Amino acid sequence: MKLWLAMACSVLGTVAMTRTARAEELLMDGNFGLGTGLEAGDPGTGLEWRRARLRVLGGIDLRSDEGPADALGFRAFVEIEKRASVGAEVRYERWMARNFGVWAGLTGTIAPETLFGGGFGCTAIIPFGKKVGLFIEPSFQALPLGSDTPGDGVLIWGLVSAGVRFGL
Amino acid sequence: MKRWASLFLAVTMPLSSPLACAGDGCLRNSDCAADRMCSSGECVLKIPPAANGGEGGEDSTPSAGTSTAAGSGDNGGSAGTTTAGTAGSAGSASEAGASGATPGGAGATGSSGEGGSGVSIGLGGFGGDTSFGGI
Repeated sequence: MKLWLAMACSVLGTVAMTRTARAEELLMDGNFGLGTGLEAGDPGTGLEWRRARLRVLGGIDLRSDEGPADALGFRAFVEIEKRASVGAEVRYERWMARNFGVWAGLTGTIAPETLFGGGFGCTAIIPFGKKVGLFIEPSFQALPLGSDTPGDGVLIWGLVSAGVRFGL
Repeated sequence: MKRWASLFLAVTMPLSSPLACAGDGCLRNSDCAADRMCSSGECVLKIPPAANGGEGGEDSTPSAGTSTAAGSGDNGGSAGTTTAGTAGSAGSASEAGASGATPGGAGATGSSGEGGSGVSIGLGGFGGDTSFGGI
């Protein structure tokens, strides 16, 4: 009897001390900033470089709290010089440290002309408080597909973006 | 913070229009207006305007057809081919002959080739243009 009582107490104690399993949570960070840089392409007269159009960008990064080093990022951007163009980007991000990550992904514009390609870059964050920070993000992208490049040329973007990053 | 702000400005705003996309040339089709495209660094019309000769050619074809009829009238009538050939088959050949002094020259060359010459004039579009302009 004493043995059964001791066993029951130990089982109850074990169960009582066990924490309830927590569901996986999705962590979300928002980004908003400006970007520009250099743009190169061959319009038929050889490779030419010029300043890339200024762009306004915004997006979110999604991470799981169980693996916060891996993230999926979505960006939308509008190039606001010349004819405004609208584009988007999806990327896989690997955060090497709390405030520094590298990424690679696909990017493109959908209007008024199409442009598709891929690229890579890195993101550094200067934290301001717990949930807000400034990000600076150099990137390199090559866009060989779409109707925006004259002929069969590849458009190259070497961009630097900067802005505000905030936890959601 | 000030340092970062100046760095941001230095990176994002520095290169102004001569080197920038505000320049005259184009690198992307979207640098040009909606009806234009980028070719060899310049914006050109996507659909080039049809040459006048083409229009004249269309119009001259039937006139060449009538010219055979009118041309059979007399040589002066053949001058009328280029001008009045279209509208003037109604037999105003004499009037056309009067006014067709300049086309008459063309008609003279046209007479050498008969119908064929009519076609060549028509393709050139000059006859067509002058005729329509005249009418």
